[in-house]
Amino acid sequence: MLPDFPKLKSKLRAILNQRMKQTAYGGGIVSRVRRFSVHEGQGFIMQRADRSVGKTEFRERSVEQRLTKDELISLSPKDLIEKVDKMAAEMARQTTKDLFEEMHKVTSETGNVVDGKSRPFSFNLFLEGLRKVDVDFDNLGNLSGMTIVVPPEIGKRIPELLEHWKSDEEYKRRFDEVMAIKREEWRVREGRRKLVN
Amino acid sequence: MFERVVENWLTKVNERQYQFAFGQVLLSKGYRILHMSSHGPQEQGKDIISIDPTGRPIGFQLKTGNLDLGAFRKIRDEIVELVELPIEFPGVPKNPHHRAVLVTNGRLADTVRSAISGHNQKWLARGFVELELVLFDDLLKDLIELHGRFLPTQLHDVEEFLRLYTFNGRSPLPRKQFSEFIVNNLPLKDSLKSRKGSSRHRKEAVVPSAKELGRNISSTAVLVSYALNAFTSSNNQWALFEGWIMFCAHLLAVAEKFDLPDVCWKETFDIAFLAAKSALKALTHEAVTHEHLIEGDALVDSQVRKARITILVGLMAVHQFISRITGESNELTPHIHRFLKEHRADLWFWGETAVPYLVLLGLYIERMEGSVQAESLWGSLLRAICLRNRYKKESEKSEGLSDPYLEVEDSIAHFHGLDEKPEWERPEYDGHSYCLRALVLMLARRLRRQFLSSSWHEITGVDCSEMFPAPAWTMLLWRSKSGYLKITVPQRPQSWAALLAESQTDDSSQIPARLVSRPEFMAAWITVYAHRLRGDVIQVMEKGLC
Repeated sequence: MLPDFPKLKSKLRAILNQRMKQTAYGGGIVSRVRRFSVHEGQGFIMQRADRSVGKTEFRERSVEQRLTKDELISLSPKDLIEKVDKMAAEMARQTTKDLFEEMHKVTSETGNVVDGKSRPFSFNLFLEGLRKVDVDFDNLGNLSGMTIVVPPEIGKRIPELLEHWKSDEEYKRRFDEVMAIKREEWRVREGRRKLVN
Repeated sequence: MFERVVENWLTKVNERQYQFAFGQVLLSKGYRILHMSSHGPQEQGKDIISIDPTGRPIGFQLKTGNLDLGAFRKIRDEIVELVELPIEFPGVPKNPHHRAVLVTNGRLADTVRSAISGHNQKWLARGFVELELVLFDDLLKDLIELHGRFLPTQLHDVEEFLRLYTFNGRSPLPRKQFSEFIVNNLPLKDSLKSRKGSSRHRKEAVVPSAKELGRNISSTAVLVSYALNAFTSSNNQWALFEGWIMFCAHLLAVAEKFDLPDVCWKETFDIAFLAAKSALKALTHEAVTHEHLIEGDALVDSQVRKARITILVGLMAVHQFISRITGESNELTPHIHRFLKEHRADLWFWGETAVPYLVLLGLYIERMEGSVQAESLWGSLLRAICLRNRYKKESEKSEGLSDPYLEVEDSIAHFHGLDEKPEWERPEYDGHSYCLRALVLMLARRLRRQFLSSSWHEITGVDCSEMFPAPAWTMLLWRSKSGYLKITVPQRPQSWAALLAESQTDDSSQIPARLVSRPEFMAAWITVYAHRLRGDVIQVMEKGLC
């Protein structure tokens, strides 16, 4: 064989792998979702608190990147990182797509979908969505652990919309009403966390 | 090359250590083994009592190394007992007189040969049999022949074997690696698919015959003896115990997979389990006679000493259950009781790999002292899991106890925060637990309603995960590619009556029958396979042990 430097290359490969994982899972919505490793088997069965059961098979996700020998020879560190970032971004895109597809499937089954039907994002639509979800509060009654995901174009408008909604007394009153209901629902849910009979 | 490894191994082991491999040689030659010594008193000069292929009883005395006249004189009384004292074993006839064999993994000095020849003439004159000899060269030849075509020949397999053979014997057993080694030597991969380039396994394109499987099993049992060499040399009895238990588990998997008749596998299983029990006994003896329970680098030992003690007390409980079920004499009992009493305050729950030890200790305490102490121990485990593994908010620091899939050493490192990885690579243990459901059901069975009632709010903060490999026999493997992880979200509210009924439901359908019928093995197995600790497994084990 020709002279080679496997120890050094192994270090370089580890750096690339780490960057790949960081880019794919270190940011975006995926990074905020709780995850854990499943070490064996082909999927999982979820028995929910209401005793309904859902079965999920594992799906393999992969990204392919083809490089010619000429490209491999001339890859600069910057090029290499760009390639890795591109693959990681694609991985993140696939994983995020899976996440939303799975959420859509589950929420459709349980009737928890609010379809905007091409209506522009509005306070009414926001409130309609809020009514559909369980909202948690901390021991002091403050809103806890809630994340709202919106498309990028709506995201840009959110600060402006929030300003507007906050300044409108009617909107504020309706929001407080929904939150009061949510707080009560949460109290009831918390009250159910007990052994009975 | 492999012959050299066998030769090297045979020169390094003592009679206790080659006894199990020699037992496999006997089985492969058609002998039936009735008894194998634990090297205590009352052996009547016979380490192995067997019936030869012609149906005649035969006693073996095993020795280590070369025998010169001085060494022979020291063992002469035992040899006389071996030849002259009849075999006292149920079902063994006194007539014809048994054959007597002296075995050593060394050679004989000429003077010893002359002495034995002289003794033989006298024994024949008095109506006894001649003393037969099995020496180093015979043993080596027998071992090589036993392997036949089942020796590792592929480079990958040989490399894997050598890695284990030269492993740091003071470390815990690398269980994943060890399981892979066993799986590669037994027909446990998909036996209906041929594998490219693997001449050893070419015959696995068809389901192997029972006879072929029997030979394969015997050969692998002896390979396991060699593979554990590093731990044997370091007197690492914990690793030896785990190694033999893992082999036994894989052997049960083969028996289940092919639904083998007992004659193909059971005697090998019994010998391997005896090897595990011997290691367990030696470990227990070492622990109860150890002055300070410090091992290795003493400067940093305080960070792992409590884990060591927790493992030891759990294994002592296993030792006691095995002795009770098998009816074997157990001179260590008073020492074990003293040890358990002295170290009750030294228990440590570092992660879910600790749970089997603490569950088994609780079962033993329950039997010896009553239920209050045991339930208190399990209750504190349950509380700790609920506190540490509850769902955390994004702003809260993760402090979940690691899952039972980690090696014990990695699990302890995680507890100490020594495995800090970047956030995106860090495993998350918050929000679920693999052993919570088993603990809840154990306490429900014991009618601890009040405790569960006061804890239910916290219990609902953790999902219960349990792995159900499919088919069921694959739970005897280290990992199973098929099957489902069942995640159960605790009910809100939970009916006590329903919980009680669930805890008392007798369902062993997801556990291999050959495991269910061996509760004493199950207790040992669950300490190694902590990831198989499920509600149904614990219930079946409890029922068998208590």
